[in-house]
Amino acid sequence: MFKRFQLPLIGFIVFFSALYFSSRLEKSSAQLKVKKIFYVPPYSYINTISGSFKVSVADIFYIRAILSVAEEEKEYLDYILSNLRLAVELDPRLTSAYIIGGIVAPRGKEEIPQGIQFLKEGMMRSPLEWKIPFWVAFNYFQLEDYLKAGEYYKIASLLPDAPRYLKGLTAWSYYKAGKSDLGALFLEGMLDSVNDPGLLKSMERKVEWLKNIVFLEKKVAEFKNIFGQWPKELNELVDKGLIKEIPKDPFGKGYYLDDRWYDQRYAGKVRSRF
Amino acid sequence: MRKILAVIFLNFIQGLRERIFLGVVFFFIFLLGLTFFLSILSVGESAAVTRSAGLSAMEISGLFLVIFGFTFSFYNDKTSRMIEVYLTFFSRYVYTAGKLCSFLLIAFFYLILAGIFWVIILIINGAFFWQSWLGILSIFLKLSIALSLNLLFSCLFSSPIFALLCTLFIYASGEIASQALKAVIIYFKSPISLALFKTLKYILPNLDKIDLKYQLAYAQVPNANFLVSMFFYTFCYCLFLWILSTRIFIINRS
Repeated sequence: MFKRFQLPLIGFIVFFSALYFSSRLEKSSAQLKVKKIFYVPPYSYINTISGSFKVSVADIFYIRAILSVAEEEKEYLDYILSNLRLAVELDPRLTSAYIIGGIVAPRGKEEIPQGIQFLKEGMMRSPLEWKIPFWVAFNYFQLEDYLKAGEYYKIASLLPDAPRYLKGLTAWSYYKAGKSDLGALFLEGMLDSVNDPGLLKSMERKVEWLKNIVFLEKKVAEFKNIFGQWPKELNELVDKGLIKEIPKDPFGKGYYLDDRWYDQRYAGKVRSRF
Repeated sequence: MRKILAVIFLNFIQGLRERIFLGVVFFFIFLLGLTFFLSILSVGESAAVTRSAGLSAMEISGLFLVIFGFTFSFYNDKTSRMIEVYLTFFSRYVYTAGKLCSFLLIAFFYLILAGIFWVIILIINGAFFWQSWLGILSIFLKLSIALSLNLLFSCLFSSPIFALLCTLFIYASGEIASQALKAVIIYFKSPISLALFKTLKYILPNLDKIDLKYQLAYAQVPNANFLVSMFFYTFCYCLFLWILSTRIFIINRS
Protein backbone atom coordinates (compact mmCIF):
# COMPACT_ATOMS: atom_id res chain seq x y z
CA MET A 1 0.00 0.00 0.00
CA PHE A 2 2.78 2.40 1.06
CA LYS A 3 4.84 1.47 -2.05
CA ARG A 4 1.96 2.58 -4.28
CA PHE A 5 2.01 6.10 -2.88
CA GLN A 6 5.77 6.27 -2.32
CA LEU A 7 6.68 7.97 -5.60
CA PRO A 8 3.78 10.48 -5.71
CA LEU A 9 4.50 11.36 -2.07
CA ILE A 10 8.18 12.01 -2.79
CA GLY A 11 7.17 14.05 -5.85
CA PHE A 12 4.73 16.06 -3.73
CA ILE A 13 7.38 16.77 -1.06
CA VAL A 14 10.02 17.70 -3.63
CA PHE A 15 7.59 20.02 -5.45
CA PHE A 16 6.68 21.93 -2.28
CA SER A 17 10.33 22.05 -1.21
CA ALA A 18 11.12 23.71 -4.54
CA LEU A 19 8.36 26.28 -3.91
CA TYR A 20 9.72 26.93 -0.42
CA PHE A 21 13.30 27.42 -1.64
CA SER A 22 12.08 29.64 -4.46
CA SER A 23 10.37 31.98 -1.98
CA ARG A 24 13.51 31.93 0.24
CA LEU A 25 15.66 32.87 -2.76
CA GLU A 26 13.34 35.75 -3.54
CA LYS A 27 13.62 37.07 0.02
CA SER A 28 17.39 36.76 0.19
CA SER A 29 17.89 38.37 -3.22
CA ALA A 30 15.77 41.32 -2.04
CA GLN A 31 18.13 41.70 0.94
CA LEU A 32 21.17 41.77 -1.30
CA LYS A 33 20.18 45.22 -2.65
CA VAL A 34 21.67 44.56 -6.05
CA LYS A 35 22.63 47.75 -7.78
CA LYS A 36 20.73 48.25 -11.02
CA ILE A 37 22.88 48.48 -14.12
CA PHE A 38 21.64 51.02 -16.61
CA TYR A 39 23.47 49.59 -19.59
CA VAL A 40 22.65 50.36 -23.18
CA PRO A 41 24.90 48.75 -25.80
CA PRO A 42 26.71 51.05 -28.26
CA TYR A 43 25.04 51.78 -31.59
CA SER A 44 27.99 50.53 -33.67
CA TYR A 45 27.70 46.99 -32.27
CA ILE A 46 23.94 46.77 -32.47
CA ASN A 47 23.88 48.25 -35.98
CA THR A 48 26.37 45.65 -37.19
CA ILE A 49 24.75 42.60 -35.67
CA SER A 50 21.11 43.47 -36.30
CA GLY A 51 21.34 43.04 -40.09
CA SER A 52 17.95 43.41 -41.74
CA PHE A 53 16.21 43.16 -38.34
CA LYS A 54 17.11 46.77 -37.45
CA VAL A 55 13.50 47.93 -37.15
CA SER A 56 12.58 45.11 -34.77
CA VAL A 57 15.72 45.67 -32.68
CA ALA A 58 14.96 49.42 -32.56
CA ASP A 59 11.44 48.57 -31.40
CA ILE A 60 12.86 46.48 -28.55
CA PHE A 61 14.94 49.41 -27.26
CA TYR A 62 11.96 51.73 -27.74
CA ILE A 63 9.75 49.44 -25.65
CA ARG A 64 12.55 49.09 -23.08
CA ALA A 65 12.51 52.89 -22.69
CA ILE A 66 8.72 53.05 -22.43
CA LEU A 67 8.72 50.43 -19.69
CA SER A 68 11.17 52.59 -17.69
CA VAL A 69 9.16 55.81 -17.94
CA ALA A 70 7.16 54.97 -14.83
CA GLU A 71 10.30 54.45 -12.68
CA GLU A 72 11.04 57.03 -9.99
CA GLU A 73 14.87 56.97 -9.75
CA LYS A 74 16.76 59.95 -11.17
CA GLU A 75 19.14 57.78 -13.20
CA TYR A 76 16.23 56.55 -15.23
CA LEU A 77 15.99 59.63 -17.45
CA ASP A 78 19.52 59.04 -18.77
CA TYR A 79 18.69 55.37 -19.22
CA ILE A 80 15.44 56.14 -21.07
CA LEU A 81 17.13 58.68 -23.31
CA SER A 82 20.04 56.31 -24.09
CA ASN A 83 17.59 53.58 -25.11
CA LEU A 84 15.58 55.98 -27.22
CA ARG A 85 18.73 57.44 -28.78
CA LEU A 86 19.77 53.94 -29.85
CA ALA A 87 16.27 53.21 -31.13
CA VAL A 88 16.15 56.32 -33.34
CA GLU A 89 19.69 55.78 -34.58
CA LEU A 90 18.66 52.31 -35.76
CA ASP A 91 15.32 53.53 -37.09
CA PRO A 92 15.24 57.30 -37.70
CA ARG A 93 11.53 57.16 -38.55
CA LEU A 94 10.60 56.23 -35.00
CA THR A 95 9.25 59.73 -34.32
CA SER A 96 7.22 58.66 -31.29
CA ALA A 97 10.55 58.08 -29.54
CA TYR A 98 11.10 61.84 -29.63
CA ILE A 99 7.84 62.68 -27.90
CA ILE A 100 8.54 60.01 -25.26
CA GLY A 101 12.12 61.21 -24.65
CA GLY A 102 11.51 64.92 -25.11
CA ILE A 103 8.08 65.46 -23.56
CA VAL A 104 6.81 62.48 -21.56
CA ALA A 105 9.97 61.25 -19.80
CA PRO A 106 11.32 64.54 -18.33
CA ARG A 107 9.51 65.24 -15.07
CA GLY A 108 9.91 68.69 -13.67
CA LYS A 109 11.60 71.77 -15.02
CA GLU A 110 15.07 70.59 -14.03
CA GLU A 111 14.78 67.61 -16.42
CA ILE A 112 13.27 69.48 -19.36
CA PRO A 113 16.67 70.74 -20.70
CA GLN A 114 17.72 67.09 -21.17
CA GLY A 115 14.53 66.52 -23.13
CA ILE A 116 15.29 69.57 -25.26
CA GLN A 117 18.82 68.31 -25.92
CA PHE A 118 17.42 64.95 -27.02
CA LEU A 119 14.93 66.63 -29.35
CA LYS A 120 17.63 68.84 -30.84
CA GLU A 121 19.67 65.72 -31.66
CA GLY A 122 16.53 64.43 -33.34
CA MET A 123 16.33 67.59 -35.45
CA MET A 124 19.82 66.81 -36.77
CA ARG A 125 18.80 63.23 -37.63
CA SER A 126 15.43 64.07 -39.13
CA PRO A 127 15.68 67.69 -40.28
CA LEU A 128 12.43 67.53 -42.25
CA GLU A 129 10.24 66.29 -39.39
CA TRP A 130 8.16 69.27 -38.22
CA LYS A 131 6.97 67.57 -35.05
CA ILE A 132 10.43 67.59 -33.43
CA PRO A 133 11.01 71.40 -33.41
CA PHE A 134 7.36 71.72 -32.43
CA TRP A 135 8.02 69.64 -29.31
CA VAL A 136 11.21 71.62 -28.61
CA ALA A 137 9.08 74.77 -28.70
CA PHE A 138 6.62 73.17 -26.29
CA ASN A 139 9.44 72.42 -23.84
CA TYR A 140 10.72 76.01 -24.02
CA PHE A 141 7.15 77.08 -23.42
CA GLN A 142 7.13 75.03 -20.22
CA LEU A 143 10.41 76.66 -19.20
CA GLU A 144 8.75 80.04 -19.88
CA ASP A 145 11.39 80.90 -22.44
CA TYR A 146 8.89 82.23 -24.93
CA LEU A 147 11.43 83.75 -27.26
CA LYS A 148 13.09 80.37 -27.87
CA ALA A 149 9.67 78.68 -28.05
CA GLY A 150 8.67 81.07 -30.82
CA GLU A 151 11.94 80.44 -32.64
CA TYR A 152 11.38 76.65 -32.77
CA TYR A 153 7.70 77.07 -33.42
CA LYS A 154 8.66 79.05 -36.50
CA ILE A 155 11.14 76.37 -37.64
CA ALA A 156 8.40 73.74 -37.31
CA SER A 157 5.88 75.81 -39.25
CA LEU A 158 8.24 76.11 -42.22
CA LEU A 159 8.84 72.37 -42.61
CA PRO A 160 6.95 70.13 -45.07
CA ASP A 161 3.53 68.80 -43.97
CA ALA A 162 3.42 71.18 -40.97
CA PRO A 163 -0.21 72.00 -40.14
CA ARG A 164 -1.42 75.49 -40.97
CA TYR A 165 -2.32 76.45 -37.42
CA LEU A 166 1.39 76.45 -36.50
CA LYS A 167 1.92 79.68 -38.41
CA GLY A 168 -1.00 81.33 -36.67
CA LEU A 169 0.23 80.22 -33.28
CA THR A 170 3.85 81.29 -33.73
CA ALA A 171 3.25 84.85 -32.58
CA TRP A 172 1.54 83.69 -29.38
CA SER A 173 4.68 82.00 -28.17
CA TYR A 174 6.44 85.34 -28.05
CA TYR A 175 4.14 86.53 -25.31
CA LYS A 176 5.58 86.82 -21.89
CA ALA A 177 5.28 84.53 -18.85
CA GLY A 178 2.01 83.74 -17.14
CA LYS A 179 -0.13 83.39 -20.28
CA SER A 180 -1.51 80.00 -19.35
CA ASP A 181 -4.63 80.45 -21.48
CA LEU A 182 -2.38 80.75 -24.51
CA GLY A 183 -0.48 77.72 -23.28
CA ALA A 184 -3.66 75.66 -23.21
CA LEU A 185 -4.45 76.75 -26.75
CA PHE A 186 -0.89 75.94 -27.77
CA LEU A 187 -1.23 72.44 -26.35
CA GLU A 188 -4.63 71.87 -27.88
CA GLY A 189 -3.13 72.72 -31.23
CA MET A 190 -0.40 70.22 -30.47
CA LEU A 191 -2.90 67.43 -29.90
CA ASP A 192 -3.61 67.47 -33.63
CA SER A 193 -0.02 66.37 -34.28
CA VAL A 194 -0.50 63.18 -32.27
CA ASN A 195 -2.36 60.30 -33.90
CA ASP A 196 -1.92 57.52 -31.39
CA PRO A 197 -4.68 57.18 -28.76
CA GLY A 198 -2.15 56.25 -26.04
CA LEU A 199 0.00 59.31 -26.66
CA LEU A 200 -3.07 61.46 -27.04
CA LYS A 201 -4.18 60.46 -23.56
CA SER A 202 -0.89 61.51 -21.98
CA MET A 203 -0.94 64.82 -23.88
CA GLU A 204 -4.54 65.43 -22.84
CA ARG A 205 -3.38 65.16 -19.24
CA LYS A 206 -1.07 68.10 -19.82
CA VAL A 207 -3.89 70.09 -21.49
CA GLU A 208 -6.10 69.38 -18.49
CA TRP A 209 -3.27 70.47 -16.19
CA LEU A 210 -2.88 73.78 -18.00
CA LYS A 211 -6.64 74.38 -18.27
CA ASN A 212 -6.93 73.97 -14.50
CA ILE A 213 -4.30 76.68 -14.07
CA VAL A 214 -6.24 78.98 -16.42
CA PHE A 215 -9.42 78.30 -14.45
CA LEU A 216 -7.76 78.95 -11.09
CA GLU A 217 -6.07 82.14 -12.30
CA LYS A 218 -9.45 83.46 -13.46
CA LYS A 219 -10.91 82.74 -10.05
CA VAL A 220 -7.93 84.39 -8.32
CA ALA A 221 -8.51 87.51 -10.45
CA GLU A 222 -12.21 87.38 -9.53
CA PHE A 223 -11.21 87.18 -5.85
CA LYS A 224 -9.06 90.31 -6.29
CA ASN A 225 -11.99 92.15 -7.92
CA ILE A 226 -14.40 91.23 -5.14
CA PHE A 227 -12.17 91.58 -2.07
CA GLY A 228 -9.63 94.11 -3.33
CA GLN A 229 -6.56 91.99 -2.49
CA TRP A 230 -4.86 88.85 -3.74
CA PRO A 231 -5.61 85.63 -1.87
CA LYS A 232 -2.68 84.21 0.08
CA GLU A 233 -3.54 80.60 -0.66
CA LEU A 234 -5.77 78.80 -3.13
CA ASN A 235 -7.82 77.42 -0.25
CA GLU A 236 -9.22 80.92 0.25
CA LEU A 237 -11.09 80.51 -3.05
CA VAL A 238 -12.84 77.49 -1.58
CA ASP A 239 -13.48 79.23 1.75
CA LYS A 240 -15.11 82.20 0.02
CA GLY A 241 -17.22 79.90 -2.14
CA LEU A 242 -15.68 80.91 -5.47
CA ILE A 243 -14.85 77.29 -6.24
CA LYS A 244 -16.05 74.03 -4.70
CA GLU A 245 -12.58 72.48 -4.49
CA ILE A 246 -9.07 72.91 -5.88
CA PRO A 247 -8.88 70.76 -9.01
CA LYS A 248 -6.63 67.72 -8.85
CA ASP A 249 -3.25 68.29 -10.48
CA PRO A 250 -2.96 65.55 -13.13
CA PHE A 251 0.66 66.33 -13.98
CA GLY A 252 2.44 67.92 -10.98
CA LYS A 253 2.06 67.36 -7.26
CA GLY A 254 -0.63 69.98 -6.61
CA TYR A 255 -1.40 73.60 -7.49
CA TYR A 256 -0.31 76.57 -5.38
CA LEU A 257 -0.43 80.32 -5.60
CA ASP A 258 2.73 82.23 -6.43
CA ASP A 259 3.47 84.16 -3.24
CA ARG A 260 5.23 87.05 -5.01
CA TRP A 261 1.98 89.03 -5.13
CA TYR A 262 3.97 92.27 -4.80
CA ASP A 263 5.55 91.71 -8.25
CA GLN A 264 3.23 92.51 -11.16
CA ARG A 265 4.71 89.64 -13.21
CA TYR A 266 3.81 86.95 -10.69
CA ALA A 267 0.78 88.35 -8.87
CA GLY A 268 -2.22 86.02 -9.10
CA LYS A 269 -0.28 83.33 -10.93
CA VAL A 270 -1.03 79.70 -10.18
CA ARG A 271 1.85 77.22 -10.25
CA SER A 272 2.18 73.48 -10.12
CA ARG A 273 4.46 71.68 -7.68
CA PHE A 274 6.93 69.37 -9.53
CA MET B 1 9.56 17.72 -65.82
CA ARG B 2 7.04 15.06 -64.70
CA LYS B 3 9.81 13.33 -62.80
CA ILE B 4 10.73 16.52 -60.98
CA LEU B 5 7.05 17.05 -60.15
CA ALA B 6 6.89 13.52 -58.75
CA VAL B 7 9.88 14.16 -56.44
CA ILE B 8 8.40 17.52 -55.43
CA PHE B 9 5.04 15.95 -54.60
CA LEU B 10 6.57 13.10 -52.58
CA ASN B 11 8.80 15.42 -50.55
CA PHE B 12 6.13 18.07 -50.11
CA ILE B 13 3.68 15.62 -48.57
CA GLN B 14 6.44 14.10 -46.43
CA GLY B 15 7.65 17.55 -45.32
CA LEU B 16 4.17 18.57 -44.15
CA ARG B 17 3.82 15.35 -42.16
CA GLU B 18 7.02 15.95 -40.23
CA ARG B 19 6.78 17.15 -36.61
CA ILE B 20 9.15 20.02 -37.43
CA PHE B 21 6.40 21.67 -39.50
CA LEU B 22 3.89 21.52 -36.66
CA GLY B 23 6.53 22.65 -34.16
CA VAL B 24 7.43 25.67 -36.28
CA VAL B 25 3.75 26.60 -36.68
CA PHE B 26 3.37 26.60 -32.88
CA PHE B 27 6.61 28.55 -32.51
CA PHE B 28 5.28 31.12 -34.97
CA ILE B 29 1.96 31.41 -33.10
CA PHE B 30 3.96 32.08 -29.93
CA LEU B 31 6.03 34.76 -31.70
CA LEU B 32 2.89 36.29 -33.17
CA GLY B 33 1.34 36.48 -29.70
CA LEU B 34 4.51 38.23 -28.56
CA THR B 35 4.17 40.62 -31.51
CA PHE B 36 0.63 41.45 -30.43
CA PHE B 37 1.75 42.32 -26.90
CA LEU B 38 4.78 44.26 -28.18
CA SER B 39 2.45 46.35 -30.32
CA ILE B 40 0.41 47.20 -27.23
CA LEU B 41 3.56 48.29 -25.38
CA SER B 42 4.97 50.37 -28.23
CA VAL B 43 2.93 53.52 -27.70
CA GLY B 44 2.66 55.60 -30.86
CA GLU B 45 4.26 53.01 -33.12
CA SER B 46 1.98 50.00 -32.75
CA ALA B 47 1.26 49.71 -36.49
CA ALA B 48 4.95 49.75 -37.46
CA VAL B 49 5.83 47.33 -34.66
CA THR B 50 3.06 44.89 -35.65
CA ARG B 51 4.27 44.90 -39.24
CA SER B 52 8.00 44.63 -38.57
CA ALA B 53 7.83 42.21 -35.63
CA GLY B 54 5.37 40.00 -37.52
CA LEU B 55 7.64 39.85 -40.56
CA SER B 56 10.66 39.12 -38.35
CA ALA B 57 8.73 36.33 -36.61
CA MET B 58 7.81 34.81 -39.98
CA GLU B 59 11.38 35.00 -41.23
CA ILE B 60 12.93 33.43 -38.12
CA SER B 61 10.37 30.63 -37.86
CA GLY B 62 10.50 30.03 -41.64
CA LEU B 63 14.29 29.82 -41.49
CA PHE B 64 14.07 27.16 -38.77
CA LEU B 65 11.52 25.25 -40.81
CA VAL B 66 13.49 25.15 -44.04
CA ILE B 67 16.91 24.54 -42.51
CA PHE B 68 15.91 21.88 -40.00
CA GLY B 69 13.30 20.33 -42.28
CA PHE B 70 15.57 20.14 -45.29
CA THR B 71 18.64 18.88 -43.41
CA PHE B 72 16.57 16.27 -41.62
CA SER B 73 14.89 15.11 -44.83
CA PHE B 74 18.12 15.04 -46.90
CA TYR B 75 20.11 13.05 -44.35
CA ASN B 76 17.14 10.83 -43.57
CA ASP B 77 17.08 9.83 -47.25
CA LYS B 78 20.74 8.86 -46.90
CA THR B 79 20.44 6.86 -43.67
CA SER B 80 17.23 5.10 -44.66
CA ARG B 81 18.64 4.25 -48.11
CA MET B 82 15.68 6.05 -49.65
CA ILE B 83 18.13 7.95 -51.81
CA GLU B 84 19.01 4.70 -53.64
CA VAL B 85 15.35 4.24 -54.50
CA TYR B 86 15.13 7.81 -55.78
CA LEU B 87 18.30 7.50 -57.84
CA THR B 88 17.09 4.26 -59.42
CA PHE B 89 14.18 6.09 -60.99
CA PHE B 90 15.42 9.66 -61.26
CA SER B 91 18.64 11.31 -62.35
CA ARG B 92 20.79 13.16 -59.81
CA TYR B 93 19.77 16.52 -61.32
CA VAL B 94 16.10 15.62 -60.95
CA TYR B 95 16.64 14.50 -57.36
CA THR B 96 18.39 17.71 -56.20
CA ALA B 97 16.02 19.96 -58.17
CA GLY B 98 12.98 18.10 -56.85
CA LYS B 99 14.25 18.19 -53.29
CA LEU B 100 14.97 21.91 -53.48
CA CYS B 101 11.66 22.79 -55.15
CA SER B 102 9.62 20.69 -52.72
CA PHE B 103 11.03 22.59 -49.76
CA LEU B 104 10.54 25.88 -51.59
CA LEU B 105 6.91 24.86 -51.90
CA ILE B 106 6.77 23.94 -48.20
CA ALA B 107 8.29 27.34 -47.33
CA PHE B 108 5.75 29.06 -49.57
CA PHE B 109 2.86 27.09 -48.07
CA TYR B 110 4.09 27.89 -44.55
CA LEU B 111 4.48 31.60 -45.34
CA ILE B 112 0.95 31.78 -46.74
CA LEU B 113 -0.37 30.06 -43.62
CA ALA B 114 1.66 32.31 -41.30
CA GLY B 115 0.74 35.32 -43.44
CA ILE B 116 -2.97 34.69 -42.83
CA PHE B 117 -2.43 34.78 -39.04
CA TRP B 118 -0.24 37.88 -39.41
CA VAL B 119 -2.83 39.69 -41.54
CA ILE B 120 -5.49 38.96 -38.90
CA ILE B 121 -3.26 40.63 -36.27
CA LEU B 122 -2.64 43.55 -38.67
CA ILE B 123 -6.37 44.00 -39.22
CA ILE B 124 -7.04 43.89 -35.45
CA ASN B 125 -4.36 46.59 -34.90
CA GLY B 126 -5.53 48.65 -37.90
CA ALA B 127 -2.13 48.24 -39.54
CA PHE B 128 -3.14 46.32 -42.65
CA PHE B 129 -2.53 47.53 -46.17
CA TRP B 130 -2.76 45.21 -49.11
CA GLN B 131 0.91 45.56 -50.15
CA SER B 132 1.83 43.93 -46.82
CA TRP B 133 1.92 40.68 -48.79
CA LEU B 134 5.12 41.89 -50.47
CA GLY B 135 6.83 41.25 -47.12
CA ILE B 136 6.00 37.56 -47.47
CA LEU B 137 7.45 37.56 -50.99
CA SER B 138 10.68 39.10 -49.69
CA ILE B 139 10.92 36.49 -46.91
CA PHE B 140 10.25 33.74 -49.44
CA LEU B 141 13.15 34.96 -51.58
CA LYS B 142 15.44 35.02 -48.54
CA LEU B 143 14.36 31.52 -47.52
CA SER B 144 15.00 30.33 -51.09
CA ILE B 145 18.62 31.41 -50.74
CA ALA B 146 18.82 29.74 -47.32
CA LEU B 147 17.47 26.51 -48.83
CA SER B 148 19.92 26.60 -51.74
CA LEU B 149 22.76 27.13 -49.28
CA ASN B 150 21.47 24.23 -47.23
CA LEU B 151 21.38 22.03 -50.32
CA LEU B 152 24.98 22.98 -51.10
CA PHE B 153 26.23 22.19 -47.61
CA SER B 154 24.15 19.03 -47.36
CA CYS B 155 25.79 17.78 -50.57
CA LEU B 156 29.20 18.89 -49.38
CA PHE B 157 29.28 17.47 -45.84
CA SER B 158 28.52 14.00 -44.57
CA SER B 159 27.47 15.42 -41.19
CA PRO B 160 24.04 17.07 -40.88
CA ILE B 161 25.29 19.24 -37.98
CA PHE B 162 27.98 20.75 -40.21
CA ALA B 163 25.47 21.42 -42.97
CA LEU B 164 23.04 23.00 -40.53
CA LEU B 165 25.59 25.20 -38.80
CA CYS B 166 27.25 26.30 -42.06
CA THR B 167 23.88 27.33 -43.50
CA LEU B 168 22.98 29.26 -40.38
CA PHE B 169 26.32 31.06 -40.26
CA ILE B 170 26.35 31.93 -43.94
CA TYR B 171 22.78 33.18 -43.62
CA ALA B 172 23.78 35.33 -40.65
CA SER B 173 26.84 36.65 -42.47
CA GLY B 174 24.64 37.45 -45.48
CA GLU B 175 22.51 39.54 -43.14
CA ILE B 176 25.31 41.49 -41.51
CA ALA B 177 28.09 41.37 -44.13
CA SER B 178 27.59 44.81 -45.64
CA GLN B 179 27.64 46.60 -42.25
CA ALA B 180 30.43 44.48 -40.81
CA LEU B 181 32.62 44.85 -43.90
CA LYS B 182 32.09 48.61 -43.87
CA ALA B 183 33.52 48.64 -40.34
CA VAL B 184 36.41 46.34 -41.26
CA ILE B 185 37.38 48.29 -44.40
CA ILE B 186 38.29 51.31 -42.24
CA TYR B 187 41.27 49.37 -40.82
CA PHE B 188 42.51 47.99 -44.17
CA LYS B 189 43.33 50.74 -46.57
CA SER B 190 45.33 48.84 -49.20
CA PRO B 191 43.53 48.44 -52.55
CA ILE B 192 44.06 44.65 -52.51
CA SER B 193 42.29 44.18 -49.20
CA LEU B 194 39.54 46.54 -50.28
CA ALA B 195 39.02 44.51 -53.47
CA LEU B 196 39.08 41.32 -51.42
CA PHE B 197 36.41 42.55 -49.02
CA LYS B 198 34.26 43.83 -51.86
CA THR B 199 34.48 40.45 -53.59
CA LEU B 200 33.60 38.71 -50.36
CA LYS B 201 30.61 41.02 -49.95
CA TYR B 202 29.29 40.07 -53.40
CA ILE B 203 29.99 36.35 -52.98
CA LEU B 204 28.00 36.17 -49.76
CA PRO B 205 24.23 36.33 -50.24
CA ASN B 206 23.19 39.99 -50.03
CA LEU B 207 20.18 39.28 -47.85
CA ASP B 208 19.96 42.82 -46.54
CA LYS B 209 19.37 44.05 -50.08
CA ILE B 210 16.36 41.82 -50.71
CA ASP B 211 14.72 42.67 -47.44
CA LEU B 212 11.54 44.76 -47.31
CA LYS B 213 10.87 44.76 -43.57
CA TYR B 214 11.93 48.39 -43.08
CA GLN B 215 9.91 49.81 -45.98
CA LEU B 216 6.80 47.78 -45.19
CA ALA B 217 6.94 48.61 -41.47
CA TYR B 218 6.21 52.19 -42.54
CA ALA B 219 3.75 51.15 -45.27
CA GLN B 220 6.15 52.18 -48.02
CA VAL B 221 5.98 50.16 -51.21
CA PRO B 222 9.15 49.62 -53.28
CA ASN B 223 8.93 50.23 -57.03
CA ALA B 224 8.44 47.45 -59.57
CA ASN B 225 12.04 47.71 -60.83
CA PHE B 226 13.37 46.97 -57.39
CA LEU B 227 11.04 44.00 -56.96
CA VAL B 228 12.03 42.55 -60.35
CA SER B 229 15.74 42.99 -59.55
CA MET B 230 15.19 41.26 -56.20
CA PHE B 231 13.53 38.33 -57.91
CA PHE B 232 16.22 37.92 -60.58
CA TYR B 233 19.05 38.26 -58.07
CA THR B 234 17.54 35.47 -55.96
CA PHE B 235 16.80 33.32 -59.01
CA CYS B 236 20.37 33.59 -60.36
CA TYR B 237 21.93 33.02 -56.93
CA CYS B 238 19.77 29.95 -56.24
CA LEU B 239 20.35 28.55 -59.73
CA PHE B 240 24.11 28.92 -59.30
CA LEU B 241 24.00 27.20 -55.91
CA TRP B 242 21.83 24.39 -57.29
CA ILE B 243 24.24 23.75 -60.19
CA LEU B 244 27.20 23.77 -57.79
CA SER B 245 25.39 21.48 -55.33
CA THR B 246 24.41 19.02 -58.02
CA ARG B 247 27.98 18.84 -59.34
CA ILE B 248 29.22 18.13 -55.81
CA PHE B 249 26.43 15.59 -55.32
CA ILE B 250 27.37 13.78 -58.55
CA ILE B 251 31.07 13.75 -57.62
CA ASN B 252 30.30 12.45 -54.12
CA ARG B 253 27.96 9.74 -55.41
CA SER B 254 30.46 8.53 -57.98
